[in-house]
Amino acid sequence: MITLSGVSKTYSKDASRPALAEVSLTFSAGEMVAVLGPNGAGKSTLLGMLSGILTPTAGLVDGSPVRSVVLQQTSLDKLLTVRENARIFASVYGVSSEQLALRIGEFADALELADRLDDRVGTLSGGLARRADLLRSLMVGPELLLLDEPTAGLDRDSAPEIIAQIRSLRDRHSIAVVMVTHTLEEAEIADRVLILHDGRVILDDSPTSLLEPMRDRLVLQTGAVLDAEERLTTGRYMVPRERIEKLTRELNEQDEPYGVRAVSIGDVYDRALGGVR
Amino acid sequence: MSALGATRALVWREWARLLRQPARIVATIGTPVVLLAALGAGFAGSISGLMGVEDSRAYSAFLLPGMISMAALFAAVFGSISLIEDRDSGLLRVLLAGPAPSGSIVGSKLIGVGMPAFVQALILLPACWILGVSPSVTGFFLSVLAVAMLTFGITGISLALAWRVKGTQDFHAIMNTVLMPMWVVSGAFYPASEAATPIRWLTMVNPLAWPTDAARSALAGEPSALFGAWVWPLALVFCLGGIGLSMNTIRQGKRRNV
Repeated sequence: MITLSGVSKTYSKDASRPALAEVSLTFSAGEMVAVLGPNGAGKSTLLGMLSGILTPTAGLVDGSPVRSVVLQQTSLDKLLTVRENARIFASVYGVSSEQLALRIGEFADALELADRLDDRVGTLSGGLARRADLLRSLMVGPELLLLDEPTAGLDRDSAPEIIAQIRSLRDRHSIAVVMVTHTLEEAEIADRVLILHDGRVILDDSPTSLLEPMRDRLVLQTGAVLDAEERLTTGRYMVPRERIEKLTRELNEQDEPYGVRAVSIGDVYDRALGGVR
Repeated sequence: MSALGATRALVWREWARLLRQPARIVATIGTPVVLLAALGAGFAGSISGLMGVEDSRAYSAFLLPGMISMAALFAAVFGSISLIEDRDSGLLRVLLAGPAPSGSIVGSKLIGVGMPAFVQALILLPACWILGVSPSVTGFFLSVLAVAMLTFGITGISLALAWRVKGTQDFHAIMNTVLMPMWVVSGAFYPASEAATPIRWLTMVNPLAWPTDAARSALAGEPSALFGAWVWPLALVFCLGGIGLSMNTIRQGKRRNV
């Protein structure tokens, strides 16, 4: 669908530090990709490249699917209604009024917005405005949906709902979804996780494949300092399963509180970044 | 994909935004009307024989094109703020990711801000009859043309400035330090042809004076005392220059700023 071959992007402000450095990636139809990375890793530049807004300094972007972008803050016009916003956006993409009516009907139901279509966006809650943003993006029949932190600022109930709706839309319409996120739980439901650091791809695999090498490990969380163990972040260690019993016994003896759990994508992320920092 | 459809939809959006913010219309037209009434009445007994009007309405008649220019300026500035909002909210980025040519997105902004500004400025024009000016049919249509050139020129300049600033507060600062002084020395409320030499020269090199004087000349049915027959080519230069400036600024800067 869209392929990046050796793509680099340098901004004139700091030519010595590329925002993207020789990135080669392929995104396929119906694939849901979560893009992770710390601030300044190149996530937004990657999204800009995929959206066509940015042009690479070097390398090639091949493919021109119908794209739609949803940003982390709503970019809808708050003075207009949900329907009016959708209509204007569709017109920019040359969507016919018949197609528009069909899509509004279908997606407004799927996003539970049918009874709010004629409300001004300024009157909607954050969660509803985010759904309206998604609705607007779907009016053009996108083959590639680019989401920049789609759940930023949403409460604990709304965020999973939005992600579930995105996933369901992807399933039904075979839309490729590239989602930049800082919420690591959201990455776990993606088909593929991409971790960027300093403009480079440091991990690119399915969540299952990323977790597979960690099968023989557990995560131990404790206030105690365990110098001999692999430290992920302060108070969090990745420990081989066979040592967990010994370690927890010692912590019990020291009366030190602790917790043990399975390795998550968040731990893989911290481990990957720990290796390059 | 139709560039025309995109332009039409985006222009419709600017109209809808304007009509849903009536305070913008009141602010655009209200200030020039108040100034026209206050200055016109204030100098009613002191000035006569302007714009072919011999009675106490002479100064008000002279002021009218300047107040139309102020309405156009305010409307263009208020409209241009939406460009800053669109850029900051990411809407521009979302639109530019679409297949519509970037020229049609920029052009629709120009038309979308310029058309309502033109209509708002034009609302004041019929006041010429109340103020004792009776332009010929040709004169009236030429004055409409001058107002159009004035409005689109100032809209272009305003959009270009809006694109370059970081936020709405910076834009207000530019309005106060660049655009308002330009208006003040455009001969909006003094006959520049009879002003002291430095002011006369300052007015002559001020682009905002060109279409304002063209409108005044068309309404009065007299050649421009300041520019003569050159007033029309100069007004056209102002209009095309403003439009060109905005198109060039936004298209060149889009990849850096969005």
